[in-house]
Amino acid sequence: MRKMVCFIGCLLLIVACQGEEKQTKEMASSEEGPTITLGSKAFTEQYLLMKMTALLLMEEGYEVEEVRFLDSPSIREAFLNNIVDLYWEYTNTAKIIYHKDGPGYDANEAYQFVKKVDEKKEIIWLDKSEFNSSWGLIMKKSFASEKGITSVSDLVSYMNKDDNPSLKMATNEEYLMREDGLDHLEDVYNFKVNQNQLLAVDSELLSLAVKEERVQVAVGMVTDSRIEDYDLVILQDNRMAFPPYDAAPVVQKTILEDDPGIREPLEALARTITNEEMVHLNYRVDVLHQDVGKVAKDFLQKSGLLPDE
Amino acid sequence: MVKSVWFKIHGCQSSKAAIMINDITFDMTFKWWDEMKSFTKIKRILWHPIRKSILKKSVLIFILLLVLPTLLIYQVIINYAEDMIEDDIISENVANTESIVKRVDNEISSVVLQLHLIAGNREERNVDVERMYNRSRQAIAQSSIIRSVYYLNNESKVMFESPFAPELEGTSYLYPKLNEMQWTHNYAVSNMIRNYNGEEVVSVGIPVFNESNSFQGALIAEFSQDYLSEMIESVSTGEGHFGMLIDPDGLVIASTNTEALGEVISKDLPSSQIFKEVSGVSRSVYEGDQSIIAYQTLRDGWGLVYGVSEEIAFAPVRKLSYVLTLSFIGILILSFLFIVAGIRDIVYPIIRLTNYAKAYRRKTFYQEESTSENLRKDEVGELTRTIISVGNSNYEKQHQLEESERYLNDMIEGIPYGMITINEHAVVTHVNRRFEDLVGYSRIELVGRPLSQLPIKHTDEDFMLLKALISEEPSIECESYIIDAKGQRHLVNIGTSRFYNGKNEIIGSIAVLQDISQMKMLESRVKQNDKLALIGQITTGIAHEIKNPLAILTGSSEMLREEVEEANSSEDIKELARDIDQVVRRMKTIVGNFLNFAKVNKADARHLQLKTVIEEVIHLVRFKMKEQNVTVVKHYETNGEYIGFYDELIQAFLNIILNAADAMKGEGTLTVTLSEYENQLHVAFQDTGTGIMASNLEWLFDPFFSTKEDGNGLGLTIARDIIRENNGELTVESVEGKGTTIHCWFHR
Repeated sequence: MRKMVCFIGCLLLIVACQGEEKQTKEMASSEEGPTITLGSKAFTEQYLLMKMTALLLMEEGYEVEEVRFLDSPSIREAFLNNIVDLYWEYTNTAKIIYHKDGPGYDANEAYQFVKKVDEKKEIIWLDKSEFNSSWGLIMKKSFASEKGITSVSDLVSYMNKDDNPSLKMATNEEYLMREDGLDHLEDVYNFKVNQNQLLAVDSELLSLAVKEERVQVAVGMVTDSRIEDYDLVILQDNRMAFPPYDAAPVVQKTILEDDPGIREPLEALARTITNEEMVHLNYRVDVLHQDVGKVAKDFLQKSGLLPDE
Repeated sequence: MVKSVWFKIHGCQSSKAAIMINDITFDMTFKWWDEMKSFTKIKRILWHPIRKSILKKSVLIFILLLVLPTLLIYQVIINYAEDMIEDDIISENVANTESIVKRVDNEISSVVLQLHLIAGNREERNVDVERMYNRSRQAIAQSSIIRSVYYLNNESKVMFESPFAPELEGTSYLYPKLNEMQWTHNYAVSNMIRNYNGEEVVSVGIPVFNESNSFQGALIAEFSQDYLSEMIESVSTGEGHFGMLIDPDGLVIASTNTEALGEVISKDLPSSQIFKEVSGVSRSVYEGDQSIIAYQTLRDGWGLVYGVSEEIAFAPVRKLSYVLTLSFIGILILSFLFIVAGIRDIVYPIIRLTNYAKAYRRKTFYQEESTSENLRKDEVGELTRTIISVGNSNYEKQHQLEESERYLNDMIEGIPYGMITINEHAVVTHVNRRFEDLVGYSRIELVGRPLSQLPIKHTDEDFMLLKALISEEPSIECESYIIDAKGQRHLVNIGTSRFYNGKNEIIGSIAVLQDISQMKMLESRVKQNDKLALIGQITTGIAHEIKNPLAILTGSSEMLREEVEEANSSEDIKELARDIDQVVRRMKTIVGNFLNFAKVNKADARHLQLKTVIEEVIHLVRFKMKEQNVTVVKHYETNGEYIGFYDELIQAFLNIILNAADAMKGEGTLTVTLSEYENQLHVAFQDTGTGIMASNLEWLFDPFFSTKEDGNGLGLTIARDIIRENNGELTVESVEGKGTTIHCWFHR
């Protein structure tokens, strides 16, 4: 009998619940803080980093403004002129381009260098991430495994064998000219690429060139999302020929002094993000054409930096 | 409750603690019991009527099995459908939102690209304004999204406005994004702003550089808001959808609702959330309709809100729900019919059957019920038929039982013997009417009392029935006595027998009593008569013997008197002689009278049946016969119609039979034959006794001759005389050692 009463009660409850509306969860709008201007360079990874930063700061109660810059010099100049308060910079980009100090092959040394030098200019480098947007040699996965090539040294020894057909290499124009470019690579690994082996193409086309076997190897960005999609592989830089481009948030000293609260979420983000994740996020935006904002938010929620809705 | 259990468990550990705690435990248990009791009571009140009635039970079962599950399934389906539709709407809204966002982003990119083509950046030393104007006119002609294009130099002067104003030198306009573009070297998308013509527009601009990468100005394209609105509308497939693009200040850039253009976005919509949450879904009221709304920010800072009114979105599920409601009502009606049919076909016949059973229990007299009235052919009908016929048969058996009981009762009450039964505890269980008459107590006073308490015996040892109960013999037959209510003593002949149950255990005994006081009296009178007859016979014999000498004496005394009279003797002698004569004469008269008296009075002869006489005699001697183990065999060929002296014949036959019985010491057979030959009746008494010695045969009829120690030798003599008196003859036939036959021949 008791069971039956319970059962009927449950039924009534179900009937009663039917019409009930789900209550919309209203986000209590947080206090309005000062507006912080965020900057990014004009490529996907930077958009993602800026968006994540914006979301984290908004969660902390700041108003943010997002500005996209065309390239590194323009954002640096704007930053120096206090147009931008905060953006993500790469250690060796700053060291080579802004400070004209040549590439630093040790990640920490490079970071400490730029941090120290920029501090004089009232620019604060927050803790860097392990995420390294560096150069690397890209090959087709099938080709590399067939020839037993896993590192740049393997590639060099393969190229040095006379009976092997000569390989073609693609780079972008910039790499041919850079101080840390092809010449440096040739010096470190002690090999020589002939002019007829070289093909200079646009950065966006490097991975495609490898995929379509127009070249066997290309110098590309290791965070290029299409590497995953095209079934390519990055060769291990066993002699550290490519300088590390570790990303770190860079912030105006005055801003940080006014709002020290922005440090923690940004350093947490820097600690959280890894190469693999960045490549995957790039992949979602570039290849799957997902919205930058959604991808950034999704990542932050999954890694626990933003509360779930 | 839990606490009390705890107490109980721990109470066991030490007896002292247990005593202390026991009170508490008791209290708590008591309270708990009180609660339980009220609960049980409620349960009983609710459950009792249901449990008692098969109708309520089956209705409950039908409701539980059909109606409730149906309602449950209905609810589950409707809820599931609503959830599904809602999910569908949400995902459709999100997908549409994404699609619009992508299209707008793409359109902006394409406009930026066109602006780059128009500007021809970093190609020349100085910017060719005229060429830009021409190129922009072509671009506007081909692109629907670009409403107009104008060039702003680095001094914020509008140089031209395509397509209609090739030269607008001197119009100064502060474009809000000009400074930003100068720094970013990148394109910029504006909010809703007022242009130099005073129109509220949105636009995108690119910075223009010369060959040496120095900032020259900005080329700005204004968007056609109509086109943007059309883009939103093109995605909205159905009615009730709405969407709008807003700038970060919340002003509506493009909308499906043209009236909202340029206004601040309705507060009903999640305007503040859009830019904070990037994307999401909310439910709120828009223009009076509850709506499901998706929102998302665009790449370049705008936001999109896209939603649908629930009323329209849920129309399919409402239709579905309507159809489902109809079908479930149908199912419920069917269920109801099913319930009704079930009750009519199964429950009601059972209830009728139950009513029959209830009525059956109340019935006390036999009344047959018709089994065939309107009963159906199914199992319930079969059951009903069977039960009714079982009921009828029970009644019939009961009836027969009553009949047979009444018969038995009549029999027991009707027999002319007293009857009493006791159980194994010697308590009287039954007496019959004859017993009541015998003892003078009513059965109410007797039944149920211990036998030994009945005041019908002097001592307990005299209760033959008690003896019978414990005796080894299954049955006892003996003579005893009882005392009736008036204190009178009756001689009774008692026969007892024991009762056994199915397990062969004694459960009581029965006694049959016959009052033999009368018969005993008769018997003793016969004996007395015998004695008197004997004395009479002797006296008669003496009288006969005296009669002859007395006759001589009479003659002699007469002659003596006459002689004395004549012979002048003295007077004394004469007197003596007269005295003698007188006395002798008187003696003769006395003897004569005596002899006359002893003769049987013929006038008493009457019509009788010899068979009846014999039967009565056998009846009188049956106990003696039994005592001496004599079997009486009777052959009656006739009733023996005769005229004679009834009492004398009884005496004669009695003497013969008693002699025969005495002759058979131990055991034997007495065969009595009554037959008729022509004019004679023949009665023969044949015994299997010792027989009579041939030497004794000639003395047999002499008075006072007897072979028995206590015999007087008159029995057979009297018998012979009586037979003679009755016009008969008595002869004796005997073989020594084999037996004797007494033949009586009666002549008609």
